[in-house]
Amino acid sequence: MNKEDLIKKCIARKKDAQYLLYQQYAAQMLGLCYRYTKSLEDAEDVLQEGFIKVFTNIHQYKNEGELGGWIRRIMINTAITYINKHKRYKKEMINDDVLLHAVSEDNPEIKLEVQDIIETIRQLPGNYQIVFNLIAIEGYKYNEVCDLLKQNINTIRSQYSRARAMLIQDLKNNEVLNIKNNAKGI
Amino acid sequence: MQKEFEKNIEKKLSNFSIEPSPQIWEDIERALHPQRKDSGVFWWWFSLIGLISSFIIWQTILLTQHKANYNTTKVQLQKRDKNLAIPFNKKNATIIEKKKQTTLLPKLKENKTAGKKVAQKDFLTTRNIFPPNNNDDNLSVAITNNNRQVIEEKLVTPNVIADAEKIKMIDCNKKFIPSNISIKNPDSSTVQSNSYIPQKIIAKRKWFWTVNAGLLSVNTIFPGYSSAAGSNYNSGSTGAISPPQTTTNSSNPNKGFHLDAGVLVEQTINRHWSFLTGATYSYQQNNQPTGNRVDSSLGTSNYFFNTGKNNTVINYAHTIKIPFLLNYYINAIHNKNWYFFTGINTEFLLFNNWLIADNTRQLYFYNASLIKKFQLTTTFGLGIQFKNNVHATIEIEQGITPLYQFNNTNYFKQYFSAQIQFPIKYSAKK
Repeated sequence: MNKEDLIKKCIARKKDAQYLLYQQYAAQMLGLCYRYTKSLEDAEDVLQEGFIKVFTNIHQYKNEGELGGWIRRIMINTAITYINKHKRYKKEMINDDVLLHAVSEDNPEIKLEVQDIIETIRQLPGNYQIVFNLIAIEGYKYNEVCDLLKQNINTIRSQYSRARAMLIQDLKNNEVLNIKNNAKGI
Repeated sequence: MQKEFEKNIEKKLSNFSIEPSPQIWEDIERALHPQRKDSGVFWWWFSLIGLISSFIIWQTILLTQHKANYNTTKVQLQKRDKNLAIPFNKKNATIIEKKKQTTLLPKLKENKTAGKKVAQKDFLTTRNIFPPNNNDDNLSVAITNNNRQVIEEKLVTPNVIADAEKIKMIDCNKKFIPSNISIKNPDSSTVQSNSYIPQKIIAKRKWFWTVNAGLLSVNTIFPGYSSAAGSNYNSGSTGAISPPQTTTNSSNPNKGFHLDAGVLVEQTINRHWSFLTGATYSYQQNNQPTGNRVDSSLGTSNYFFNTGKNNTVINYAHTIKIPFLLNYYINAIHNKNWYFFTGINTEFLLFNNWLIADNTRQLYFYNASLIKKFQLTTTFGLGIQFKNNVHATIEIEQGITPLYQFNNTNYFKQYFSAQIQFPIKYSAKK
């Protein structure tokens, strides 16, 4: 079944087509949701809500860009909505007036495994985690993030710089820890 | 924008994926195609209502037919009494009247030894209490219920008249007539009535206590949630169980215990219908299997609880219920009144502590603040009234307004219970 047929059948609410589409993108999208949330269960929640939105709005998709990119944007929007809705995430949001780390312009080489990098990103404070994911990984521009998060551009810049610095520091620490553990044979 | 560091990160994370659990697709599918389940329940209720309605219509037709018979008989009785102008009692048991037999009637037999002929009581024969009994020399019965021509000849003895009089008295007083009445003949043989005699009127009850107890009650939520297989909470971050552990299946906390008490009042509308209202206080409780840890304490906002291994939380709720019910009494079976009831209940939640299971995920619960304070429910049930005016009922209650809303889905209360109701005052007509 080609992409057009798949989309047409999904618009017609055919279960088998919906399942095919889900199978094609679910794992990748769960990986994305996992980066934005603090637990796998939350990521699964976002994935579920996101796919419901995908299937209910698939008629709005125009065959202009990649279907994967369109689904990805829906997942990101759903993740941000989910995080804003749940109070426990709000508690983790950091006031930018507090100086946490010095801003770093380093470009260190990352030697850690993917899982370790992701876990380190997920340890960032809530808003830093989102901003870093959007800018560094999804490739969003500052003004796009401003519109998405409804925040001032300077705040976004500041949050991204701090997030980056924190992450580099944490990665360095983890890398050192890994090296030490490897040396001890752990 | 992207520097070397970002490019490096993006490159490493571009193909990162996690295989989702099968439960997620099931939940998505359920959210996208919910109609089938809803329509199934709708047809189930529709069938139930149809069945009850059919039964009520059938009973009403029976009542109409019986009423027609009764009125015809009454007119005949009045006419006969007027013609006789003789008090109809035990002392005046003499030959009263002789009527000719019509061609439609079976041949009447005469008792030559006694040489007395009388007319039998029309009201008994028309009601088919005495079936034709050609073997009985002393009793000749002619019956036709179709054309209402009832003439009969038989020997009348004080016993026969006295017994018949008793039946008449019972009939006039509108009490329950047992279906096995027997009439003695002069030779001491008896004629059994094996015909169907509908009850005359329901025994009225007015004020009575209702005590609803039991382990029989079942509280469920619709749509319910089904437990997935044991999940592994091992992400190690906020919201996860540490150290990682495999959970066991949770179960739908649908079986509980409840205790209701209150006062109800019933007003009879006619011989079949009555209206019932009042107020009852209800305490419901069940044990909710959860886990050994919660991520948020009870009483905060609508947080969910990530729980691990099996543990138990006691759910409880206190409510005030005001019912508005219609009872439909069917004819007595074995001297007991059976009735259906249906109607609307208004329920006010006083306070509660009830974890709401997240139907999309196993072992996640929301706290009680989601539950609505006011609810409308509908009830269907079957009741039985015993001789001492104690009532026993079973009922199914279904929410009309949602118990709570979650993920744009309304969840409704479903409730099954058995009750016993004791009268405060008995006010049946004598």
